[in-house]
Amino acid sequence: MSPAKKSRPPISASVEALIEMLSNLIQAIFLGGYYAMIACGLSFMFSVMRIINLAHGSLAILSAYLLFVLASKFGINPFVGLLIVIPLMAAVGWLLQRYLLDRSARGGELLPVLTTFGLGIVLDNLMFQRFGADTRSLAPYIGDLSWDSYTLPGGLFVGKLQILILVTVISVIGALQLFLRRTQLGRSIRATAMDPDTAGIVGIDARRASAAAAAIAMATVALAGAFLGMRATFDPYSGAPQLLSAFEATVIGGLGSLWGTLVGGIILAVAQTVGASVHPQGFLLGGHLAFLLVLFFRLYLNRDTVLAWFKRRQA
Amino acid sequence: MIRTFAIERWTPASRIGFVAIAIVIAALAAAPAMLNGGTLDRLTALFVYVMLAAMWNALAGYGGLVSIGQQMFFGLGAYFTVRLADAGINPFASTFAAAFVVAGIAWAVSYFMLHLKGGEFAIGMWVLSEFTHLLINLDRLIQGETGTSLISMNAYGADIRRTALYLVALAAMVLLLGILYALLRSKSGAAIQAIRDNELAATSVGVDVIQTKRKLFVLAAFGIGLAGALWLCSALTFQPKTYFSVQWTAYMIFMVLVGGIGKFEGAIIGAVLFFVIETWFGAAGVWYLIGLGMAAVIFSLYFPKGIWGAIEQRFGVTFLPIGYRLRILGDRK
Amino acid sequence: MTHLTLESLDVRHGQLKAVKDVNLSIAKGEIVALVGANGAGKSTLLRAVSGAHKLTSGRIALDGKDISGLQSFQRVKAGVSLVPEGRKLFQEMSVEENLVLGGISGRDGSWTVAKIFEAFPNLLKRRNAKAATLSGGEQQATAIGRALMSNPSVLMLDEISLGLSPAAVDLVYASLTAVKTGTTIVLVEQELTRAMQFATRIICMLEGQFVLDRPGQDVSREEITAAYFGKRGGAH
Repeated sequence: MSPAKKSRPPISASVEALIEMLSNLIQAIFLGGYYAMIACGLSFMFSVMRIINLAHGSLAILSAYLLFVLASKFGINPFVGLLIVIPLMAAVGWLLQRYLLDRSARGGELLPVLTTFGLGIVLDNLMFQRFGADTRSLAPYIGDLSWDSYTLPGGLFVGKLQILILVTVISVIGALQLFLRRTQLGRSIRATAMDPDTAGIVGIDARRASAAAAAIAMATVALAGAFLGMRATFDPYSGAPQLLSAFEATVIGGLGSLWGTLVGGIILAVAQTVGASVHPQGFLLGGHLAFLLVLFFRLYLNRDTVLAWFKRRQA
Repeated sequence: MIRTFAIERWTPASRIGFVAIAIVIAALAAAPAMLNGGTLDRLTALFVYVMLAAMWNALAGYGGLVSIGQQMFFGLGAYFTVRLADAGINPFASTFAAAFVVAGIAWAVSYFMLHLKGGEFAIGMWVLSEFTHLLINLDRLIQGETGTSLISMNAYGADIRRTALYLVALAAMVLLLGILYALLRSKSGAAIQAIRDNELAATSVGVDVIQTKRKLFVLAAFGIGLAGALWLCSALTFQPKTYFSVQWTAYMIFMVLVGGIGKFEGAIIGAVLFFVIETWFGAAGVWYLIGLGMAAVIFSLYFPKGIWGAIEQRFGVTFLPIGYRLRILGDRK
Repeated sequence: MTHLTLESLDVRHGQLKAVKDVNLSIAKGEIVALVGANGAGKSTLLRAVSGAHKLTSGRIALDGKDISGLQSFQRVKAGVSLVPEGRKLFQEMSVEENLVLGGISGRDGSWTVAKIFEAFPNLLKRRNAKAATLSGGEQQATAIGRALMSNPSVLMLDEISLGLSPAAVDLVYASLTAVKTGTTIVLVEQELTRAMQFATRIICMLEGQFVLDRPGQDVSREEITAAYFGKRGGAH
């Protein structure tokens, strides 16, 4: 799909290698931006409700399918379709929290894991039932945007869609931070996350705050699903890999930090790219390995353990 | 006035229950003489399901460790069986040996993963499982997703193989349940239940939380690994995707949630129920899976104690008691 | 009409009956001090009135209207505000954020963030400090300010002297005295002297029940102490 190569002056092999590395790095940054998009909703839900929603990926795929139906059946451009799907998914989030998650969270920390896992399975298989096993994509419906790119000096290409995704995710995360810090609803959501009992005593409707948070998280999921469909393909069982990527990006960047999902996403993408360059099967392996290493270092090499290790050495 | 009492571990219902269970096991052992090959195969599957349910229940219901990655040990059990059999070891012996290898891996992994909490642990194990799956695919013997077969099993005739596998699976299931039951009735068992009720309080009375969880984690891995190995002996083919599929955890969750989480009898009931449903509805394709998922959601929300939990609450019956009872014998002046 | 009425209130704490068949009528502007030993049921009672704790049976009425079925945040909107035991500030938020959140119920009234800082001047320089970094006295002032922001008609305070130095307690009570103008107050206070100084009515609780309920001027220290420990002759 690359445009005809213009004639260039001969460059030395090492510079070419450097350019290729740079190109991979740029691609990784943009991929990281996508990971942040799918991850920020997960991170947001976790910070606010201490729930990891295992149906998160499946809900993104659901959004993608909704946009697909709107595009293929009604000819609605996916970007326009988002005007319908984002509020729809937000409503789904509200209902989910109000009637499913709120109840299961009261049963303890573990129950939401089981409930959302079951939900994910139901969603995946319902989508399979409805849409079949074929992989789909939203790329045909966004015209030139799916492959259009800018050319940078040195022959590097940067896709317009990729830029759009990165810019969107940065805006979304920035907006979320502002929302949490500056609005009364945002403050209520943070307070409910810190101490739901006291939140009520102060006058906060904790259930409404949680439902609002879930709605916001699902809105980001809708965006993520849209972007996935535009930049790649999806099928009914794509939810699980999306969930794992989102989770890995969240953890690498630090649980509870929204900007961390961007950092984590980029690190994850870079690790995957490095893995792919080492071995043909190495893409996913590289990502998982990075995740496990970050976990290891975070668990064992925090300040206290390092100090204790030094003390034992001296003794 | 002195009130006398006795501390008992068994109830009349449980004594009956134990005798009943012994009879059932004896009957199952004698079954090959009476049932045909196809039925034996299905029963072997049932035994595997019971093992899976009991182990996931041990981990989640007793240890409070919900893991979405237990399929990792299922796959590893099968994988090491293939490898050991390929190295020339008798396939049946390989299954047990493989289970021990899996237990060793779990022991090492636990130093790492057990520091994670709640949802992090759940998905962390899933990531670890995917990671392991990818690594296994790199083994040239496995040839990626093409997979390979447990060739050395073909040395046995089909009938002998079926019967031998049936008996080995039955023995494995009884052994595993026995170990788990003994563990739960021991001091470790009390520690486990203390941790489940209140981890901080348990620490304050001297329970080593991490060590206790480690025991459960390793036992569960051993059991699930053995289950995977036995499944391989029955299915004969090893395609990593099948064994490392998160579907297995979905089955385990269903069995335990519906049967009764944290109840020994519950896991067994859940496995039997799952087996029955699978036999009848397995051919329904995705609707079967949707049904399983919905059941998991509904039970987790509305019947968190599962079927056995409801029975226990209603009738106050315990067949396999783990705790202690105080029975007041009478008053004396 | 009484301002706050409790009828046959029963509140359970797990299997334990923490509040047994309590009846209480408080008139507008009264300042009621609840005294009693630890575990007598004072905190549970306040929490039950605020909605943080479920009633087992009985009825709570505010200005004659039954509020027993309302959730805690709805009761704040109705005008019942609690300063909980242990302050329970939102630790990661600043003083100002905690105060602003206190006004979320949107009740009419004169309290604003600026006025709170006037009433508690020691908080002004700490307005952007995270609640976790505040001293005990500053935390207590913030907690009271947060409750005041809801413009309550009934203000309940649970053990505000707990963990504070005597000087800090003095400050808190001085500020409270300045702000209390006309608000109905129910406070749990362990220090008998303060309770008698501040309140117009003393109620002593023992094992979930009221064993003494007298106007502040009509009762002696000895009588209260007797009721406190359950010696006979304390009930009215």
